[in-house]
Amino acid sequence: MKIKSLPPSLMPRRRYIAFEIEADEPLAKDEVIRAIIRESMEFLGENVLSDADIKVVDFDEATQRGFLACRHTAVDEAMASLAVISSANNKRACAVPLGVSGTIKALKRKFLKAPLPAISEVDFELKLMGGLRVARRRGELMDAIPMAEELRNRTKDLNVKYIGLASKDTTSLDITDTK
Amino acid sequence: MNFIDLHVHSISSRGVDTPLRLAYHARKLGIEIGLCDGAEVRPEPGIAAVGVEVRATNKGAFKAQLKTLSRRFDYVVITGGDEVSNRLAVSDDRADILAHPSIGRSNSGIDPYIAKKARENSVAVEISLGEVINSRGSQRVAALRNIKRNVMLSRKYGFELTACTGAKCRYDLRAAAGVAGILKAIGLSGPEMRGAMIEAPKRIIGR
Repeated sequence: MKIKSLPPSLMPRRRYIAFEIEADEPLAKDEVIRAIIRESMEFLGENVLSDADIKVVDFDEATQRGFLACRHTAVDEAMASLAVISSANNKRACAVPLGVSGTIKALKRKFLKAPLPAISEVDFELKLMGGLRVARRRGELMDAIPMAEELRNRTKDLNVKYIGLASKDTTSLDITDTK
Repeated sequence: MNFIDLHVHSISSRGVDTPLRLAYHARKLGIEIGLCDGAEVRPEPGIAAVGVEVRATNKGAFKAQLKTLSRRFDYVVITGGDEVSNRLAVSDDRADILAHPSIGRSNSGIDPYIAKKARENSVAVEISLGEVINSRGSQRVAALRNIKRNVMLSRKYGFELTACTGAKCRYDLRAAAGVAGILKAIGLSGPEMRGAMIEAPKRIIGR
């Protein structure tokens, strides 16, 4: 026999938190869910997590955006769980909270509909900081692979693949197209 | 709640992102950052101030450094850790922030003498969120324990706390809501959070 659902007065009130994952490479849904659950369990502990009732509801691999659900009294705990994420599957990543809403419909309308600029693969060099090979461009942002030994070591130590630049960084610099 | 993170490094010192890239991410997160590279940066929305981080090992050299740097930059961050650095950092009112006072130590790095001096000279003690975010297991336990001890000492002796990520790349920056969530979990009250996230940083950069 199917168990009866609770009357509305006893149903827990929910909040939905939209987030965006930032990482060097797009992450799979599984990796994101595992990272959020692991970090919330490690940081909050099993008992607090059971009260907060944090669950990842959806994650879109194409936009790297998703949302999680929690009890309405546990928004701070859910935000803390997102904030302590520093990697997913040993890849450097972070979760940026986009907003909180009481319904999924409003959350999607307010925070998950804004289009993202497409990532384009590029290949040119900047004569800056011992040489940078710009590999990707997204809107006004650029990711570059350093050629100088010291910067290579720094990216390795921080477990990041690219040096982050903004397009304004290149306005006064010497650019060599390698294509 | 807003957040001003005064301990961020760009590619000019120990980081991997340019100041403009970090400013873009700060705007996206709805926060402001202070770059403590000890390098000039052109004004950009998202960058609240420009500071410098120095290590204090020798009293004479430290005072001389402070004399020059406090005039050149909006604020001065002192790298803490060992007892000498922590004591020197709070001994001069031209120093602004004592950063990661507990790094490499088995305790929080703040004793009653340092706490009193920090209050006297208005030196804020950093809540090193980076040590919580980028560690796990026993290391994270130790980082949380040290922060909680410094919060307790701040309540007793009245020195300021300031929340900082110590970010070295774009992935280390955190939104105000996330920082508030971590500080609440640590046990800070609403006014204490506001003090560490906004009021102390504003006082330091002179707004």
